Amino acid sequence: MPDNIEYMYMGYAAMAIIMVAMIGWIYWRYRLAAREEQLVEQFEAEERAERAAAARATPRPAPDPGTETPAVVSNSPLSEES
Amino acid sequence: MAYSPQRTRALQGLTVAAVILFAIALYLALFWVGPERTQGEVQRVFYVHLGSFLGAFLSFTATVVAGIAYLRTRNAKWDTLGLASVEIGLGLSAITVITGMTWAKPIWNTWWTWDPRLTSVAIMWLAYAAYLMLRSGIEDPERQRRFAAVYGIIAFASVLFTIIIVRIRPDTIHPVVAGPTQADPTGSFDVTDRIRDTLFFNLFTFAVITAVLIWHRIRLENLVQRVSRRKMEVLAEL
Repeated sequence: MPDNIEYMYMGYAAMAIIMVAMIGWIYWRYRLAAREEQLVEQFEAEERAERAAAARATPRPAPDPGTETPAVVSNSPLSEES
Repeated sequence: MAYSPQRTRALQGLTVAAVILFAIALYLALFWVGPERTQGEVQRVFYVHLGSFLGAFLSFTATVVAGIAYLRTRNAKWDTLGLASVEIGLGLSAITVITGMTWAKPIWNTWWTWDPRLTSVAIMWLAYAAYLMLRSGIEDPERQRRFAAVYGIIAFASVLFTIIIVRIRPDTIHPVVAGPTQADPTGSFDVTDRIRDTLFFNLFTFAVITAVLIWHRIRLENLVQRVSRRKMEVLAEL
């Protein structure tokens, strides 16, 4: 029987390296994408918080007596005033 | 996209099953089955060589199915399956080529020869590597998906060619495991019961591993696309 066990080891080692590379590649890209998603979420949350703070900080304009919205008078027959 | 807990559990279960099957397959190939009389220990590479080729074949078949389904429905999920299958198939066919080379050195006395089978498998590998490169060069998503679907279907001819070539060319030295051949291959061996059982177990294991890897790759692609969409939405709001 020929003595060629080193080639068998080489074949299995090559298979292991490619398998680990494939799985590692998927895992690494998954981690990277998940981290990126987390950053986007964080950015969105900060944006929302900033907008909310800006809305609170802006003073509401005082209503001008001349341009006040007239009261709505209903013409509906079901209205209490009719 | 939120996945149902059942699907996630199924993927986790299949992943654990694949790891266990792989451990058993390695045990069978390295310890349970004895070394082949005429070829010695290097013949044990054959189980992985054939198993990985089956995995690549299944992956590229999935690419064809995905391509046809995409062209019929225009649903992007089929494109994701096609892309995932090509990537996994390329990795598995790289295992086929490299384990074949390590076997060929002591048996044929050369790492590589331009035998019809070896040449056809090299063409197959390059055809699918080109799929990824050409695909990434197209900007418009709809065009990219359409191109990938058509290319994935056409590229499958190289897989069929690889399978058929050893059966029709009389000048190949590559052994044929199943079916008739016109050639006089170098490196054939008698298949004993243990060799056959180990081979079938390895084939089954590689089929499961292929399915698991494609499934994980699909999930990765879905995540990448979701992140990309959200980034675009955020940029649009600014």
